[in-house]
Amino acid sequence: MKRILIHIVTLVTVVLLAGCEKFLDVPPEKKNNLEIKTAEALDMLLNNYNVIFDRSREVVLAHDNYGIYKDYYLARPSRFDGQLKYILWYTDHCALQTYYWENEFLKIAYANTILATINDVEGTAQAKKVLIQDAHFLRAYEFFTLATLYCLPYSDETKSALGLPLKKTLVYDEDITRKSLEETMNFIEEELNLALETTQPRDINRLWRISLPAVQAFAARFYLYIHDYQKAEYFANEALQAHSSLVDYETYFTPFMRTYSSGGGTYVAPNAPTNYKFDEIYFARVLYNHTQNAVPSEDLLNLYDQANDYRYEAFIVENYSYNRASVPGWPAYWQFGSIGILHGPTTAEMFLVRAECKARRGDLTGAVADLNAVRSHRYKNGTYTDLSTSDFTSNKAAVQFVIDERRREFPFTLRWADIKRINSDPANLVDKITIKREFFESDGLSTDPSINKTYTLPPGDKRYAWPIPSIDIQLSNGQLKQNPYDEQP
Amino acid sequence: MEKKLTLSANLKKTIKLLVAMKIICLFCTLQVFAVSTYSQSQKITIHMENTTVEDIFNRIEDETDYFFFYRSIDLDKIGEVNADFTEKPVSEVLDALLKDTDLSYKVVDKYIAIASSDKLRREPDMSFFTRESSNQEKLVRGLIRDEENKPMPGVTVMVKGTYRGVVSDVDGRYEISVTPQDVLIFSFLGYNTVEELVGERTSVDVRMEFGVERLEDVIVTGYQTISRERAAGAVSILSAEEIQRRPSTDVASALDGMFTGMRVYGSGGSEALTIRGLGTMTMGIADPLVVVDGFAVEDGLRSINPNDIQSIHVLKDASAASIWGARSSNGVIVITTKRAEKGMNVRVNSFVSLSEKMDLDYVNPIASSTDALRWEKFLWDNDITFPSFSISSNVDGNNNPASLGITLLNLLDLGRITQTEFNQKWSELEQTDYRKNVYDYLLRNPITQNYDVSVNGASENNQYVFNIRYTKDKEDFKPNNSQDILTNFRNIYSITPWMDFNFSIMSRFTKNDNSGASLSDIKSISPYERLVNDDGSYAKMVGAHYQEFIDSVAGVFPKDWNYNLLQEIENREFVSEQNNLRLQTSLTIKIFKSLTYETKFQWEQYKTENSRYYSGESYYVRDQVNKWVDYDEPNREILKLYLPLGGQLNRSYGSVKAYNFGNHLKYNQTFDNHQVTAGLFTEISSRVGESYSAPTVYGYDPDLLTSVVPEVYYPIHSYWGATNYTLGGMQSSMSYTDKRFFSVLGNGAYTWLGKYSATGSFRIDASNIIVKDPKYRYAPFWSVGANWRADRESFIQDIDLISRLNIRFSYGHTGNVVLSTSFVPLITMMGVYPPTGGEYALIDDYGNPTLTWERTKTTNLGFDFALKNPAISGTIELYNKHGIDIVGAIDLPRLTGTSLQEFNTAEILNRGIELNLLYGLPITSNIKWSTRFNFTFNKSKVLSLQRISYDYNGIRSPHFEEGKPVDAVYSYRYLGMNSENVPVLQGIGDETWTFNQVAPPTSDDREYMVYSGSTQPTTLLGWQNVFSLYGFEISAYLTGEFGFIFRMPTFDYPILTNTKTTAALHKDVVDVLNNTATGIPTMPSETETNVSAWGAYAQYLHTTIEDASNIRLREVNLSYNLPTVILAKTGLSNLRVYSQIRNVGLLWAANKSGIDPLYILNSRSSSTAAIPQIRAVPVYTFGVSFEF
Repeated sequence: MKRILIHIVTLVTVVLLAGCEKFLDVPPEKKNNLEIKTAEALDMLLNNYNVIFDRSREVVLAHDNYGIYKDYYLARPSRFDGQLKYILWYTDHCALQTYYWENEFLKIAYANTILATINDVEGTAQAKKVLIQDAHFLRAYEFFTLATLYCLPYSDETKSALGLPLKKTLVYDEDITRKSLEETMNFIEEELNLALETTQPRDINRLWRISLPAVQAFAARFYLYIHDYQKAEYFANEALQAHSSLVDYETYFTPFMRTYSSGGGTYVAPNAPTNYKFDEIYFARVLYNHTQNAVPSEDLLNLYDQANDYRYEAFIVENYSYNRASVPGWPAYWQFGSIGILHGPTTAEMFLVRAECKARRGDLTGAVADLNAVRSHRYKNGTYTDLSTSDFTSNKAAVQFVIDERRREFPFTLRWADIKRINSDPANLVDKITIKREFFESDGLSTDPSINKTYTLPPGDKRYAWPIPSIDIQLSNGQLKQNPYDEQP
Repeated sequence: MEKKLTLSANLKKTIKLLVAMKIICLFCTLQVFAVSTYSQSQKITIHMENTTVEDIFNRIEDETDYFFFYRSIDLDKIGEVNADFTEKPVSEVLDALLKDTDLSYKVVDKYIAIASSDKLRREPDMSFFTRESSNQEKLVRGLIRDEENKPMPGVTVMVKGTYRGVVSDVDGRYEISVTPQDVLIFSFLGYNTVEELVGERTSVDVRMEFGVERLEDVIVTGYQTISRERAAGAVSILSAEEIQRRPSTDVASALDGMFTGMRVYGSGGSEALTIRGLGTMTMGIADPLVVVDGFAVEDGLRSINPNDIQSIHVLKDASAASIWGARSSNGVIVITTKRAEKGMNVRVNSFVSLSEKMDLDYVNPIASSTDALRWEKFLWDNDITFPSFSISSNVDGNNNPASLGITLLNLLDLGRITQTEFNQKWSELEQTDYRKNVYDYLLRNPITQNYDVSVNGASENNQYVFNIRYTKDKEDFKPNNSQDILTNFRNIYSITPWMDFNFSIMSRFTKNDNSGASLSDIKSISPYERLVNDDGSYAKMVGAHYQEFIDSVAGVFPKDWNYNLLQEIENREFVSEQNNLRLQTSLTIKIFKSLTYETKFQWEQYKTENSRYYSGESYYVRDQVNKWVDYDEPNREILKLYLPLGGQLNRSYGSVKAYNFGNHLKYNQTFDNHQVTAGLFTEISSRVGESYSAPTVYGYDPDLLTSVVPEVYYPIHSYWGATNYTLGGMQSSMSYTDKRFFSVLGNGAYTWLGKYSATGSFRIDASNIIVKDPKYRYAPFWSVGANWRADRESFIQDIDLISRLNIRFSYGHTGNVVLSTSFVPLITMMGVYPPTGGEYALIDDYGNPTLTWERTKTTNLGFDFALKNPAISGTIELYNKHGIDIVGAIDLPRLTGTSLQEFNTAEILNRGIELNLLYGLPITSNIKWSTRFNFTFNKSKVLSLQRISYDYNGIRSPHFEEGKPVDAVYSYRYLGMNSENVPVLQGIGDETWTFNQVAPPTSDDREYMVYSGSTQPTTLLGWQNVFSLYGFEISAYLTGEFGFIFRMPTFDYPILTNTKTTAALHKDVVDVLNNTATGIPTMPSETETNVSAWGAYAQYLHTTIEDASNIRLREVNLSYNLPTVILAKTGLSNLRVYSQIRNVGLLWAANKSGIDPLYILNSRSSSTAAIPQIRAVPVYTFGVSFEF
């Protein structure tokens, strides 16, 4: 009996040791903290609306469509305290903020996760191919967005200027020195070319994911920024070939118009939910306007046909200051709620890119047709009269008009990049832009309302390249360098 | 005087009745009877005619010291008798009375038992009691001493083979009549039994030695039991007696202050324990491991009945704990449950605890009605509001609530009420005090009732323990209550002499009703708000909407929209039920004399079900029904309802299922001077945790069990046109975790000459962390230790002062595992996002290239000593507990996709001294004082944590920071108000800044904030005193905590927002309003536009930091044990009545504000995490326990 027992003991021990690996291979959780094992899982990562298409925080404060009004400020200084550093371009203080930078690199990390794991996961070759292209597209898009913020405008003179750290893997000790601006742009173009190999058609149900028209539309935006108007027109045209619907704004937004009362007054604004199936979209991206208060400048307000342009009627929310500051009388810009503004490439953008390129090469008829296509969908019903070529005396006037139309159409999303590309345009066709602000003496942190001061950001200013976050420079073991700036007044 | 006597006579009768019922029981269980040699024959004179024997006995009882035991039925048979005795011994009287009956008697001490002769004959040696000594017998005397040569009272001396025996007296002396052939057996609990043949001796002196199993002398690690003199580890021990001296329904509250190195904080079953400081940075793995009867359990100390505990051993160093490997870094608490005693024993324990109503002034330290209204008026008059604040009686999304005060101000401004009406209503509010209503309608005196019955017994090859406890709690908030039934059954069966089968089961059922108010409900009542009107009807309280709006749409919307908290409580039913089950079974086989094999298995299951039912008349449902409609505003018409009108039911479930399977080989052998103990163990365990919350059941009828499926899930619209993606609660949420471990362990101890011991252990743990290569799963843990029994050396034995000296040293590694990181990126599945219709996932973790197990290296030096005179014994421990590879979030450049990533690179050091002293002073045989004093000093320091960015938000609360103690706190340095009446703070260097400016530009906010200290105490004191006075015992428990800080809650300058109350106005507002505040900013000026920022700073000024040191009297217990002589008559072997006051109060606190630092209540944010919300008020307990 005892002998048998000893045998049993031995047997049990051996079985236990052998079965142990299998026993421990069971993952510790379901749902959370999972290892990535399938292509489906990677696909779901790219569906993360919160990270990928809802969390873009590009500049709404630094350009000339944003207005800083002395009286508005005085009525509630605290409302603007955290934003003055951007509005007045105080680079030292801006370097302390990280969210513009980190939200783009977060998307790049998602793309890098796809590329780092795709070879080890289960899935069909076709599914993997689409994911790889999607990841490259994501990287092209995000590095471009970062370049428009943190690098100088792109031109022959700035090619050797500081570009971006090209983070391509998940390895923590990867080289993160900043490459030159030329290398950065070349990398973006390479990624773009890889993405252009996609054959995915535009799918209204998956507008936040890669499709050939989406990549083409982005390519048009990219080439326009680096002044390659031929390619820009080519890709805008390609995108429009695939999809060219425009939404009539009055019809679409009128049912959403609501009256809100707040702070002792009322204001009217569209309460449209962010719509990922909005028909003009090639690639769904929503600007997360975290200040919830894009204050339009006087210049911008004056650009609209305030009586007839529905974009003014709906999106310029008069008296919004009741809500944000309990101060009556100041407007704000909002489109889909107080936070969401469409930001990804749309058909309207492509029409305007093509119009600009056409105008630049003298095809005024083509340019005017594209302009009318967009504008006719923006005016209140029955109030729009078509532009004609005779409205423009020169190519320059037509291009200038397209630039202004872009201001009206995308006042808080594309303007900063537009100013940069115009100021660095070797073609020199349109007037360079200097941003001017009349405000009080301020160092971006504290303000002295007893002293008036004019702030200007002239073309070629080094402050067009935003400072990268100082915390990352600190943590990079000397790899990251800050943009050089002149001594600030 | 006369009356009193009658009363006492009645009482006596009652006792007698009880006694009569118990007498059979007494005779059945009477096996060892302590017999006094004292037996003075008292003489008595009785002249009574035609009386009953019973009356005669009463008379004898009145006139002598004797008490009678009898069954009335026996005496009834005798009928009436005549008694005529003059100066006769009692024995003669009894002989005469019982002469012609079958009854006989027996005198034991002062007690006389009457029963049938048969029954009494079965009892041993009547002759002894009746002093009919046989000729061969002689009187033997002796002295009994212990190891230290001290006389031992109370030792039982039996004649072998009989039930005859005596007990040694106070001086350890005894005398007994025996024959030369008799063998005397000397026994005393915890000591080895001694047998002596009497022979020709007339004096038999013996010396008793501690038994091996004496509690204080063995160390139970859960894997083995080893004698203390051989163990090298730092282990604190608590005995059953000490635990049960402090009546309580949960174990943790009986541990407070009892151990060195252990801190117990929190109360009411949610206590948290730390042993020798915090050793990890990951929440959820910081608790000590709890082991019950050799099995690690997943339920902590919860499902354990304190009355069922035999001993608690706390393993604090590596040598003791490292055999628990990967789960032992935070220390191990080993609980051994009670074993059965011979025969059948029944223990009954019952108590009731009462306490005062919760103290609203403490729990909710808010401003008076007048002060609150003054502040609201100040905000209103100067338009100091949150930017989005608005009051709207229109149908839109902004008809958010406003407090009653603000509502009145608004109505006045709009001209809807006159100044006179306003003044009248305003002063009504000023005179209303919410506390009266809250005390009357929401609160009550909590009561806990506890009943506990335990039966155990043992025969030659079977031992069993059965234990059942019922607890009923009526909680502070009406009608919250809980009921709990906890049962334990354990059985050890010896199948053969070399094989034992062991089985035990714990089951627990708990039901909580939480329908009543909660503290947050109370905090959302304005000080001037009332629950009921003067006529007793429900008052209209502020709900989720502005009252004017509600009034304007009355009758239009389907449901009444008024809110009242009392009505809400009546219309909801929140029930939570727990079902816990634990099975433990093992088979022990003695393969050889020195080799034992054990295989054991444990299954645990802890289930929770929560149910929250809201009737259709609850505000919760009414508000939703009204809100989610298509509303035609111009025509005041509801076009479509989205929600069913009836009740709603939300249910959720959680469960933990765990099993543990182990195989052990144990070796134990003693050769001449060598003693060897060794063991080899393998174990696997799995712990599966699951949770599930079911979709909301709409239109639920609890009586008919019917429900309604809402017509539309997505998208739904509110009355003002807002769109919601889905109907609330339609998605269920689930989670599943499975923690698996595989372990192999070997340990051994070797002792030479009984003086020199060496111990060692080695363990390999593996868990199911996600790795590509399985080798990374395995982690080795080991320990070595040495023990020198110095007192056995002759040169120490020569020192008169020292009776015991033991020097121990140990070093080793213990571990902890974090399963939420991996070398590879980890993701979470999120389900479908309705607006896109796409399933999505997110990245939790980008990979931890340093992944390994957290490891704590502990060095321990211990001294155990005992002095001869005074009889002080104690332990000193010095330790160095160095945690390495601790998982901590470190800063990464944000271009990696994250700013923080968990790496195994942090280090925490805890270093300290522990001193434990015990002293017992027997003043006389019946008066004793014993005391236990614990002192702990622990200094913690985060040695390494690669962080460089410290954000004010993180560092003004307890956090980890390199170079600082665990839970360091920073504050803003407040410099007072400037000339513009704005508070000024210290900036970087010599700079200053004000509340109205943006914080200094830096990514390291430590540059301008000041370090305030740590919220973890460095010094702990525990002091227990027990006085015994005849049967009375008083025990008192003091604890002290020193060397830490807390942040005192204060006024936080709330501005107007759309909430039911204008935030919670802390009572310090009165000082601000009167400009008498010190340490915090004074009244903002009327033009101040940035008051909203003030609150964020004001709560964290350095002036709000206070020294948290305190000394408190935790408990005072008073108990009375009925003397055995009285008990003998009742058939009980033990009867104890006791009372307790728990949370007696603070004796001293370093802060001068009357705040109890352990129970801080903040007006809004609790800056000191993990501190209970409700101050423990004194709890009064009364109970009784008895055994038979």
